[in-house]
Amino acid sequence: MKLAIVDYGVGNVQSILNAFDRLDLKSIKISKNKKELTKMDGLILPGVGAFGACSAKLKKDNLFNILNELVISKKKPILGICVGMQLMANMSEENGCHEGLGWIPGKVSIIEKKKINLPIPHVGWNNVDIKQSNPIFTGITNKSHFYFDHSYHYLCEKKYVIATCKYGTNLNVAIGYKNIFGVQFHPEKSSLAGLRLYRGFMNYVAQC
Amino acid sequence: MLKKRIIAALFIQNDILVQSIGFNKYLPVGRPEIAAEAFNAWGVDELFLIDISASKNKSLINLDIVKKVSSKCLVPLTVGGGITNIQQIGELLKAGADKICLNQSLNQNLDCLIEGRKVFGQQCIVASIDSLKTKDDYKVFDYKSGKVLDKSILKTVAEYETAGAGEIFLNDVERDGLRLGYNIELIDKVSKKVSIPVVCSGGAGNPSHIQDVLQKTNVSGASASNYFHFTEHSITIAKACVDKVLPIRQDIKFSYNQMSINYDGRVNRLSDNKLKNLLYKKIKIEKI
Repeated sequence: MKLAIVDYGVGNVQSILNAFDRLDLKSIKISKNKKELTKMDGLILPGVGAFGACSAKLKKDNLFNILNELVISKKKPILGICVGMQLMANMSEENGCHEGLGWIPGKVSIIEKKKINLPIPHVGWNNVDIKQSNPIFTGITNKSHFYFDHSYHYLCEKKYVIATCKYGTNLNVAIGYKNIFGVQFHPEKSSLAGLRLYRGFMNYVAQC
Repeated sequence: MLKKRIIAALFIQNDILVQSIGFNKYLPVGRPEIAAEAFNAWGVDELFLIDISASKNKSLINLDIVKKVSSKCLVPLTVGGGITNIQQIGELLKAGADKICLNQSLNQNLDCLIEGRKVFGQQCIVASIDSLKTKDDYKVFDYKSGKVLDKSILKTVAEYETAGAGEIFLNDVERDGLRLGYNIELIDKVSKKVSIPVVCSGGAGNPSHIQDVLQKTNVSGASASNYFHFTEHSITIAKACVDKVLPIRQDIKFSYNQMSINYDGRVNRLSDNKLKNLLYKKIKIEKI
């Protein structure tokens, strides 16, 4: 199986590589080259940092168009992580208004501190409620712990929500639509539960 | 619900993992990546890797060590030591760090924090602060010069929060390595002052200290260093103790929840009768 991490100069790419290394997938590539990405069976869209900076970098490398073609027209499976998931929204309100890929209708807004009366960012291990069965959650028991580190969350229709978690309010932390998946937490930092999620995605890719 | 974190801090000096006592005495432990691997297997929630000699040597923490540690680390890794600009932050993230810990550079100015937040996001920057109690107040201690600065801890953490720090890593210099327990008073004040997560450090010597600080204050996590070394399954045992009073993440295959544990965090011997009737249970190996 050929997987690639989309390289646009941000993200904790090394930790994702380490995690896949544990799953014995040595052939994973890091690439922004259209030809190379086209040859892949599945893609990982990482992300760390501010939405605006990430979205600008994606655009700069023409990756908006390339990804749209691969994911929407060619239906390649893709997994977005943290900001990589948020990029799948129509827009984000982080430091102004920024345009996203718009694959899963929704917008990214700040978690309102006043409403939940808890520290922001939401940092640490929280347990996840699985709302609908999904290939990427195969083998993961409900209420498993994953590692979060974010201040913004994805607002979208219920039908796209795979899992939520409680932090003062219910946050949408895993979303999916057809071949597109996104998780707000960091599987590569979530110990064994995270490895199981990556294995679930790999198995899904292998079936496609 | 969000669980409070139990964090292991790995302090390195000239590339060797050390135990630190009072910010001035150091005992060698060994290679940091070996400790990282063990702590991961024992179910730690997060690792801090801090080079305490880097700022003094005017160098950056060794990137090779960061790479080695991160390759063994399946939980978040926060890295600190000699960071003064955002190019270095970029290099460290590339080497496998997830968050960056600033300490010394914040005593000069907040430029690196503000810039770092803009480029890498708030969640990426941890502001570390060393506290020393003076006659009237808790003040910032500058370990590079060994002097107490005329800056109050509470005022300074509030400044860090405004400048965009994602978390505060609070150290108590006096208690460092003494194993007398955390400074609950200070930690309580700081965690009430800011609305970002606070992680405390300095003074843990046994599981009940960790239990105490997590229960009595609003901290998001408790970090320990010295006492986790040289004790088999130290972290797993600490978690079993904390689990008795508040929910905590225990996701590994074994736990000490059913065991009797003494004050020092060591497991008590089972009774002769129990040992006689002990049966081994076969656990199927999971292939992820």
